[in-house]
Amino acid sequence: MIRVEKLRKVYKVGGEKVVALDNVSVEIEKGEFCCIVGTSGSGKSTLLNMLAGLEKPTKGKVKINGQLVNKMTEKELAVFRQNNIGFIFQSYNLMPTMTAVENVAFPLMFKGVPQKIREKRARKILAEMGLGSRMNHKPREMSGGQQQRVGIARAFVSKPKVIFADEPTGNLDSATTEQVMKMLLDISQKNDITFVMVTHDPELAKMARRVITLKDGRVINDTRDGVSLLEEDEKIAESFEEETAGEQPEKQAEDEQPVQVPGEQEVSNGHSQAISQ
Amino acid sequence: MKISDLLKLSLDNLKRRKGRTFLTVLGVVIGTCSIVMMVSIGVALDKSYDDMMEGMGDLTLIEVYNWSSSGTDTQSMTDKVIEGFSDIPGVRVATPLYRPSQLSMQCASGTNDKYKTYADIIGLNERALADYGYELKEGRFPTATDKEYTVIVGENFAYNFTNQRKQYPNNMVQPIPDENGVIPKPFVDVLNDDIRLQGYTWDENGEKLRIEKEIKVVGVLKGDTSKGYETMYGMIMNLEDLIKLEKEYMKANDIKDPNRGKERSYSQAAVKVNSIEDVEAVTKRIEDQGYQTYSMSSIRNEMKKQTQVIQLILGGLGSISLLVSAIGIANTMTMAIYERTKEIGIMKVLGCELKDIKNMFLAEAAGIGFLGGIVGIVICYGLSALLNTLGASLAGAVTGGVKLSIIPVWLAAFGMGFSTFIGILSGYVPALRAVKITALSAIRHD
Repeated sequence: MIRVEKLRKVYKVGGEKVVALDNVSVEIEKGEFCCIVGTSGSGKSTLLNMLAGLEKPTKGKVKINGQLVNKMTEKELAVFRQNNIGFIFQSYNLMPTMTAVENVAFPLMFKGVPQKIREKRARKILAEMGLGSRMNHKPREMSGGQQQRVGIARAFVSKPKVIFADEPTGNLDSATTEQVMKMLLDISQKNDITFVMVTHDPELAKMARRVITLKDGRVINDTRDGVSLLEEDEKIAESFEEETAGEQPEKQAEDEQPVQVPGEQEVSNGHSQAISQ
Repeated sequence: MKISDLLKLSLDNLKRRKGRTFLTVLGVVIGTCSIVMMVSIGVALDKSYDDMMEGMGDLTLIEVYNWSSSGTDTQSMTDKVIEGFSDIPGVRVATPLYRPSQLSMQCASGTNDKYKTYADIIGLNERALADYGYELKEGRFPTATDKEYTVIVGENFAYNFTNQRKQYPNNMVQPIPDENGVIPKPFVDVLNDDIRLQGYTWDENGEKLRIEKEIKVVGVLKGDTSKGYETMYGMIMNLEDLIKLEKEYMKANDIKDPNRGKERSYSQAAVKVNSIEDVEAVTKRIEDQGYQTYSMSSIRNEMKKQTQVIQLILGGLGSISLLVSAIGIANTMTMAIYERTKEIGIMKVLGCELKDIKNMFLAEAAGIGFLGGIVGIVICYGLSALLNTLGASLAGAVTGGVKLSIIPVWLAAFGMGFSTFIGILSGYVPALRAVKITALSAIRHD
């Protein structure tokens, strides 16, 4: 379903190169619930961003459903996201002016689904998630747990093949965290959706069958039901080497990576630290 | 994404920041008002010029003169030359306008020439009469089958006659209503009474009748000074009859024909064109042949050019404030994009296409422009009405019904269209900026 081959990402920070991801090769199967675990600066968020096509890798490939995500144009990515991908954010990222129903129906608007149909679907999924009484509330009128459930409903509403979640429980208390996690596991299993989430909490990761552990940009552990998959990951990397051996060497040399604006970089750094706290 | 959804999204965004939207729209309102009001004043000015010109003369008439530009080398404007004028495309009719310089005759009517007047005769090709634009009040135009000296006269020609037996002021009747509002009848019924043209000579023995011709008046013209004095008080005769009459008169008075032996040349001709649009081209053709022309249209064109310049200056002044409001829109949109960076990122992550993001911001900017345009136009109609009432009461009788400001439908439509266009234009750069925001910013701006 998701296949990552020898992924490498290098940032330039003030003239210095920082390797965020190095030689990451993994394959996530269809319907799998996968946690990416690691400490701050381990590269887990960078990996997620690259899987979702939010950032381009310096080297390597990301394939989802056989499609090469890292080569897509912005336009192709937009259509690809409409049809294949759902996203859950740590800080919910709901539209502040819209009601719960409108927020959930929002992604369907981009697909051109008529208002009546998309809001009907949004109501249905919100009701299933126990938010029947909060349908017409705006985000600021809801608790964090309720807001995140709206965010989850928004990710599931267009029945995507993959859902990415970036610390979905990061802003929630432990009781709500458990509720939300159970809900995520339940819905993705019922709908046979591949679920990839990033967390810094190893306890939370234990709830997932598949756990990928990152440290300093490298995969240091990869287990399914406790069985290591590191050897298989190595095979993926080898197949990539063979595949690209005959081809021209990748032109995307690290030095040609566009220089990051320092300001932007700081925000990014600040963010990854914020997550780990 | 559906257009209806896009517009609703844009409208919701405008509603979110009501205060700021209001101020930006206000800027556009002022800009639209200033440009539309300025142009409306120009339009009114143009209209008042047109009205003035229409009162002054026939716009489709070109007078042609044979004044040499050098002064010495007089070129001739013969029948043939004038024939040639009628072949120019757009010309309806061309005729010499012959005012006999040597002829001095009187009109007489009644028994023993009781009523008399001097005759101011002008000669035209009779077939030109109807085409020339003269309008009849009574009777008909002369035709080729009429006998010699069949004429038409001006509307008030009959009032020229004075009673030779009475003293001033009882010797005349004027076409002015009396206290009962009744216009008195003239002494002579020109269409029915016998009228004679008389040529006299004077010497120490007193005046002596030399020539007498019976004339027949078949039509009375509607007076119109724009078509010439003759329509009021003159007499119009077939050109050939008039030339013959002048010759006889000169012979009787022993006057030498100054043009003897030469082909006859006229000092003045009139060319009537089909429409105002033809005036310019025809005028040029005639002037190229070396003749001088005079037409109301050429004066009108000059004035048009002037009013166009004035309109341009007024419009330019008005557009300065619209330019300022355009900067206001650009500023508002840029601010909105900074504020909504995260939202735009989220929209991208959720699968919103670039063109939809761009169009959303363009629609917001266009909305500001359109809203400002509509409100501006409504205010303009109010201002225009106010200006016209105020102007009328200030200027009073001087301007009469002249308006100071006119907003035609095209100007209103233009005002709205232009302000919307300005909105889109000033929203374009901010919209492109919005498109460049990366999906990653949805996560970054925590």
